[in-house]
Amino acid sequence: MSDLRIALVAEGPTDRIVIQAALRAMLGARAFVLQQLQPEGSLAFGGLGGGWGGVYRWCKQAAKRGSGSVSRDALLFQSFDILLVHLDVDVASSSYRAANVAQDSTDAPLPCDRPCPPASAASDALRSVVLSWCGESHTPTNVVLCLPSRCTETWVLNALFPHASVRHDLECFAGPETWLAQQPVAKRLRKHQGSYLARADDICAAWAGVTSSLSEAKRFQGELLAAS
Amino acid sequence: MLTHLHVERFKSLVKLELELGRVNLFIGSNGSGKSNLLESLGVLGAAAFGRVEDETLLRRGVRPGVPSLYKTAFSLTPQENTSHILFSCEGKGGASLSVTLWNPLGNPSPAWKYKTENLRVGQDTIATRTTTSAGRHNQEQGMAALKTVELPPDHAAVALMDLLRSYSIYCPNTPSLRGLVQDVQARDPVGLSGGRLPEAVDELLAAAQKDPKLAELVDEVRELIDWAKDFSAAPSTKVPLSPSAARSRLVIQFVDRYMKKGRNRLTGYDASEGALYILFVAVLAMHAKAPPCIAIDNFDQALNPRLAQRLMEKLCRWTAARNGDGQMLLTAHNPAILDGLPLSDPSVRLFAIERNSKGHTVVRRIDLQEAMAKRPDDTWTLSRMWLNGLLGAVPNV
Repeated sequence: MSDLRIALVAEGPTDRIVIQAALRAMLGARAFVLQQLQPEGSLAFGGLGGGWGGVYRWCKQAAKRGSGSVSRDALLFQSFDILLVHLDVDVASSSYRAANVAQDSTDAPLPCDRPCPPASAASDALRSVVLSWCGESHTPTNVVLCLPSRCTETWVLNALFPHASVRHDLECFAGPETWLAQQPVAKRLRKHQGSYLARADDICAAWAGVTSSLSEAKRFQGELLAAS
Repeated sequence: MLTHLHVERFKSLVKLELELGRVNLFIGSNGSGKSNLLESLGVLGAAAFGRVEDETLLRRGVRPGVPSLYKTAFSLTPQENTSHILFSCEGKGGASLSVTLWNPLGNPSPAWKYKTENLRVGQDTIATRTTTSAGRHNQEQGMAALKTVELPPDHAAVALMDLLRSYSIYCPNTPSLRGLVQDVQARDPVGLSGGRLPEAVDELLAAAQKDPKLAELVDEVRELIDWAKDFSAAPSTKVPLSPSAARSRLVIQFVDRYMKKGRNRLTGYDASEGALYILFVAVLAMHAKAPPCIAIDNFDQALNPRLAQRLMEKLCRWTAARNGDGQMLLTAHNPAILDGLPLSDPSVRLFAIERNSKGHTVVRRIDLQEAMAKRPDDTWTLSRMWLNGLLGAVPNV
């Protein structure tokens, strides 16, 4: 079986490290190549586009290349089997203006947050928003959405501290990043690539536990395996 | 010309197979395994020479290494994890050479041992060494190399072995091109680091005077060095050169387009390094004594993006003019290079080199015919696609 080729559009580099660790656990013996994509840009003209604004800009560029929809982007899918779009669910509480994004008429409205629990409510609402950026009405077969609730650090917290007494409905907890950074020095995890890379194998090893306790991680795994 | 390369368990190349064209450009992140790929053919070249040891590897531009570095260090399945390294290739005339080499990880010997060898032309076996017969023969001496001396010079097996033996990895550097330091890998027509460039340019210009077609190609080299009216090789005693500069018998001489007559001559010691890199590539593409198959690692170094694009375009033309006798394996990092690749020509091939989730080097030919037909507009160039990650082969940084 040939290596699975996955293009990733994610908010930041630490998200990619976590997703890569999760993919290693999900795909097991099957090798894959993961390539993180970025929207086109120059720092001189306003940055390279990190954060969810960067995901937005990339989706709009790709949809334009694909004559209106990301799934028809021939230049992307000649090199990749799957496009994986990552966005933290806490983006549902943001506005376009907050990210300096000029919303166009086809973009579904933000904020779109919903009461949590259930975690799936805001995730479902944000799904529709991301699909509108991609020019899609339904999730295409070659696109997988990765929307951790409330953010990627929720998955990290659950993987590295499975017995932490944070709150029962962890996917509704708004502060996992702060919680991880406030642990005793030996256990602390700051949002740096080096720190995340050092724990990537641990996240991979704990992934089965993450999917058994977090609904959005389970949904991501199910959709990724179906697409691959 | 080599048409097929197969390598197993060499450095990061756990299992690699690729179909080669006349011009083969390999792009990928730093550390993706591009140089390992070029070196794998160098090891096969040493094996075709008859002995695989530091001296024969260095001669081909291959970094010598102990077995623990050469043999892939990944955790492999029991089926994958045998003790030998496999190199195999096929040539255009139906000849093929397959070699497995081994050397113990602990207490290795200076020369690698041949475990198996198979030199064939079609169904005819020219030389063979099997695991059962290995003990009866000198295991450090290649059997195929010895057998080929019995064959007529126009035999397909001889052509393949000669091509492999003469293969080298060139990696020019500015001090060698300027003649400031001696090229420790001296060759005819040019050394692996660019030594002997003035002599090679002199020979190329002399050949162009007798061959109108070659003269046309040399004119294309002049077009690429836009600030110079002309270039040539001249005795170092006849050109303005600092007494502190190292002097060889000949030096490259450029005539500047803008300077006053009488003061408009520059030597390779003073001129733009980019011009020297262009001459180096031109010599390897056009000189009659250039090996029929070579690699140039980082062939775009020191070049402006527009110039790199044009050089790529011209290089494809120059090698095509050698009537199938000019095969190149190139690595590059400058995206503009891709826009000079005539990918509609099936003999020009672009490969992306990447590391997969297990760390293994994987190679993928980028064939864009279908995708380019569907591209939304002409604003999407290959260079733009590469920078945007659409071709892969960029680091996740």
